Amino acid sequence: MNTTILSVDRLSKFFVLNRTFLGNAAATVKAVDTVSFSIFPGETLGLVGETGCGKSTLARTIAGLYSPTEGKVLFKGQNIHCDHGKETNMLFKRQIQMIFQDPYSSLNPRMTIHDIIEEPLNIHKLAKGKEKEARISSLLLQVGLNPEYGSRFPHECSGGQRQRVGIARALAVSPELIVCDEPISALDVSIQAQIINLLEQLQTELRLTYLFIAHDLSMVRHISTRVAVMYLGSLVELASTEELYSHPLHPYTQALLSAIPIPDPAIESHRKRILLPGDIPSPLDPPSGCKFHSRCHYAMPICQKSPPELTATDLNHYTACHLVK
Amino acid sequence: MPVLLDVQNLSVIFHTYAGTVRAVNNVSFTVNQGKIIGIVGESGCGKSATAQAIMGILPQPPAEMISGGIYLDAAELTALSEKELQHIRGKKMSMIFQDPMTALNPVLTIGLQIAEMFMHHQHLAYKDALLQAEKALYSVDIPAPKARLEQYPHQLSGGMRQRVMIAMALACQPKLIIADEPTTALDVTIQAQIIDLLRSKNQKLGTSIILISHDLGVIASLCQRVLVMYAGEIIEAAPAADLYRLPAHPYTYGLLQSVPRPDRKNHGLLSIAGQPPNLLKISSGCSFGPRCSYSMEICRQKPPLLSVGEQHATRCWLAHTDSPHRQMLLQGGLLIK
Repeated sequence: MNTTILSVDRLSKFFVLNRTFLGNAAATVKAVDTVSFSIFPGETLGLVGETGCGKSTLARTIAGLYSPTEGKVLFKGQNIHCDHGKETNMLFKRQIQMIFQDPYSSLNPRMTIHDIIEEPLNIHKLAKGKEKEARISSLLLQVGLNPEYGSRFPHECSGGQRQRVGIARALAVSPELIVCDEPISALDVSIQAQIINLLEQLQTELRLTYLFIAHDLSMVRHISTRVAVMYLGSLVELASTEELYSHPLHPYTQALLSAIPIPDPAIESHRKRILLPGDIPSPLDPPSGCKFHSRCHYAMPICQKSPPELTATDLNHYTACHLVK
Repeated sequence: MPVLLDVQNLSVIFHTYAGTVRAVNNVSFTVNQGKIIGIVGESGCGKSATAQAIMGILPQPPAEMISGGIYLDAAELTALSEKELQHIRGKKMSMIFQDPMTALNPVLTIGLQIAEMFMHHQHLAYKDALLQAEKALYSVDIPAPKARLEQYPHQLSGGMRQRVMIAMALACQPKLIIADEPTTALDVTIQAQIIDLLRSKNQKLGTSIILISHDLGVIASLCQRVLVMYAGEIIEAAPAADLYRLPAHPYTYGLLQSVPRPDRKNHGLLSIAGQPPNLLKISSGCSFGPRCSYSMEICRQKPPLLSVGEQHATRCWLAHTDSPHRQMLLQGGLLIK
């Protein structure tokens, strides 16, 4: 493969919840714990995991909304969280954009659609006057909205239309990488497919790279080139989509895949499920060693002691499990 | 199989400032004893309003049931007073809600909330009721049930709360449970646990379940019969196996095509064009007509429910005996276009 567009190097993001009166941390949530991976130009990297596994924190750190506790995020070789002077800093913000989960709270209810899309163009001083108006119209057309929609307010639009506005706003500054944080989970099934098709079409037209975060494993399979699985702040498996769905190696990935119900009663009636016992442990107090050992059917003594490293088991297939070596 | 629940011509409207919303239109169906029946549809299609009408918990006003009969074990529920209904709710039928955090009372212990069921319906003393509550928690595989009795809802995880809801719903061994999106708020691995629990309760106790969901996968894994709702109407009703193999309504077909399969490689998703209908202005014709790629002249008239197979009916003119496309439909031909 060619050079990476983004590489995440031993990235950690901790949140301190309480402090003692001396100012020491009393409780820390290790939302993202030493995560490393790369994204290649033009691909879609799917990131899946359950609630609280740190996927949104990871997304926000990559988009520059959070600063990391440790480690770095390199965009084309440059650390985006270092100060490179105002101009370069602005350039990073232009090149990495984000689409948010909730199209209801991520659009300012007091701004018209036109103004929402205009704002990034003004901030980055990308266009003026007639040129700007033309750009806004073409952005609206690009996401399948009539330019007349510009005069509307978000509450006058449906969920699908709002998500299209969110996409247009991200596209306004011509980014190279778009971090999509659960862009479809708030939408109805028939609208989800519309948005996914739009994202795919835009990717081919504009040669975009996506980091696509979701908990819907079927949709991730559909859209991704490679898929990474997260559990309690760590990556447990990373492989090409076909490889991951046909030969999952990590016990958590196996359980996750077997838990998705298939929309076909003929298959469902004789399908064996791997049921994981218990709940996801609290990220405040994660299990020692391998974080998954408390729910794992194959846990061995070593799993409680040392955390397994993400190692390559095959070309482009990485797993963090003591069983797979 | 004897019929447990019979819903006939149910219509529900909501009076709002914007106008009258026709949430449920002439919905009729039956649930046989011991069966799991699924209702699938998107937000605003009337599935929750149908469930609330059966339970007699429609918020009136703004809601109003303008027609319909609901018979549980041949007893007409709509004729009962609120007081009489309270003896049936929880005892003969009960409900599991989507969000267990808002369905449980945050200031009462889990134990008291379940014990209430036994105190109300079986007139047990508080101490005995608590013992029963502990058994109920045990029966839904909650670890350390005795300790849980003392806890408050916020001390439990989402999956545990949903188990508590199920324990509460099953407490008095009702004949019917209505589960309204019981797994939507949960993660997939926890969803799998809850599906497994519902299935085993259905098999062991013979409880009938109406499962309401927008997730075709969840419906496929539990239900024997499925109703598809759109704009307040049942537009297709079929045994689960037939519905997924030979969908006979363009909307059902579109819905099935717009979800990718987790178990195979997908080539392009077919999406349904347009937006879900505005229930303030219901058209006089087929409600799916404006979004339908098979739309014909006759679709300006409301299609009746037409039979396309054993126990399989669709509300689509394509299935009419005079329709040139009926054969295509019967053979699952929708899939070709």
